[in-house]
Amino acid sequence: MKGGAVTTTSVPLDDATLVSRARDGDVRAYEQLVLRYQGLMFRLALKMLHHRGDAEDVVQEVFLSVWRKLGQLHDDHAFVGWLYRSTTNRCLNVIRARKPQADVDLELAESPRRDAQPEHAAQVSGQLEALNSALQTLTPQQRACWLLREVHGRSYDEIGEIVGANPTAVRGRIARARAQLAEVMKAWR
Amino acid sequence: MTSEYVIAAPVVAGVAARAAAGTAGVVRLEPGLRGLAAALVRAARDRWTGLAAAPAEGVRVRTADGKLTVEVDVVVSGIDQAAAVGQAVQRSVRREVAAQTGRTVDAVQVSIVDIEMEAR
Amino acid sequence: MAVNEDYALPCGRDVDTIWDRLDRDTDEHDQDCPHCRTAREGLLALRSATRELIDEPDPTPPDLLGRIMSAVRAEVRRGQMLDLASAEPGGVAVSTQAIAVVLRYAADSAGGVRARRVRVRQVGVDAAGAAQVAAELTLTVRLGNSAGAETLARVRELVSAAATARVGITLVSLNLLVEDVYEDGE
Repeated sequence: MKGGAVTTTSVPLDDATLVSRARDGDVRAYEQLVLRYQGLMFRLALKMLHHRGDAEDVVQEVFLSVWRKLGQLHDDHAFVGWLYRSTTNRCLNVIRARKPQADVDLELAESPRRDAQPEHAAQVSGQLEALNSALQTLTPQQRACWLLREVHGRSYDEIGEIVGANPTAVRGRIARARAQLAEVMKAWR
Repeated sequence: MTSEYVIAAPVVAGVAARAAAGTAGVVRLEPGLRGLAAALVRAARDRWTGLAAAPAEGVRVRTADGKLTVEVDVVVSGIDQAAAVGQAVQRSVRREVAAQTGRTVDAVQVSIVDIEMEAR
Repeated sequence: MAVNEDYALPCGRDVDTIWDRLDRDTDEHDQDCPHCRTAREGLLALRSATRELIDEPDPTPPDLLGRIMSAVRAEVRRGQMLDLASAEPGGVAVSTQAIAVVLRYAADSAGGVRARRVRVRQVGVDAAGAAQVAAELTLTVRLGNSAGAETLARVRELVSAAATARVGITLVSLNLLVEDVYEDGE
């Protein structure tokens, strides 16, 4: 790059810098963060809730509430973990609210949502369809742990912090999820 | 009675926008936030029937519990006191909406988003 | 095939181990044991389906970003709007940016001084409901300006008066920071 003033940033900034700027009120920096992570959060919410409208609501609320509380974030590198925690918790709350009874145990499988908005407008393969359905047979906690591990690549420690459980419990939920999903997938084949 | 509100809102917004823009000391209205109305309507818990009738003009008309509120975003010049211009906008919106549509505006919320001083 | 709580198969091996070894060469037990074979099959199917899931095209609605940022911007504006006094119902509010414009202009009019950064924050409300603010101005002073104290006093006067007369808020505290000098022609 030749000498002279740089008027535009063409080099993408790292997350921590964007978070720091956003915390100081830089809306454009926050927009970059939303662009980077809305897809991941939406995919997580969509697989958790099996309903597009609910997933959209959750993601909107996550990014708005995180913006509001940005001043409370002390470690700029903890931003993404915070997004995951917020998204996962809201999804679990939505699932909890769907149940008719007051007493809800997220360790038990849930009743399916009645007005299901199909996840996809387009056709998906039979195998993928089977997996999507199989995911709904898991308990919400199992589903969350499995998605965070297998699709989002988070470590056991990270998942523990996201769902509020120790890594051993996380490992157990993922193992159970795998076994359950494997059984369904094998039956499908 | 609810349907009457919905049909009349764009008209109210148009009258309000013209009244605000024509108030002495107002430089212009500020174009509104696209999509904000959609976000508001989407929230089921919201009791407001949000209807951004003229978002491109910087005016929002809301009805809730039978009350009609007009929100307007303006840029004012530095010649008159901002507070005074803001109050003038409130009065002129209320007056013009009553005169031209017969509707009573219960509240006019003015947001002065910028002040333009003359160039030095 | 029932999966028991310890995710161990009747033969003694557990699902986790089979998963970890999916790509390795099978040993005799893997080949002979019906439980393990079944488990392997299921896990292979799962892994294939998982890859498909990971490779799914982005389902994010295209207007989601716009909706999120509209709400964020509305929030920003809400947070930066200070109340002014008005007898009419509904209220009049002014943004901190607008106030900054007025204060900067007033400081600049003192002569021999330029305002750089202007920060405004609300610290209270007066009897009429209008905001009381604290402001901080960063200034550069013209080189050779020998009447420094006088200039700053004039800046204070002008800025304070402008807050009341041009905006309609009360300035309860004003910090002036001289940061730099400039020469005529700069």
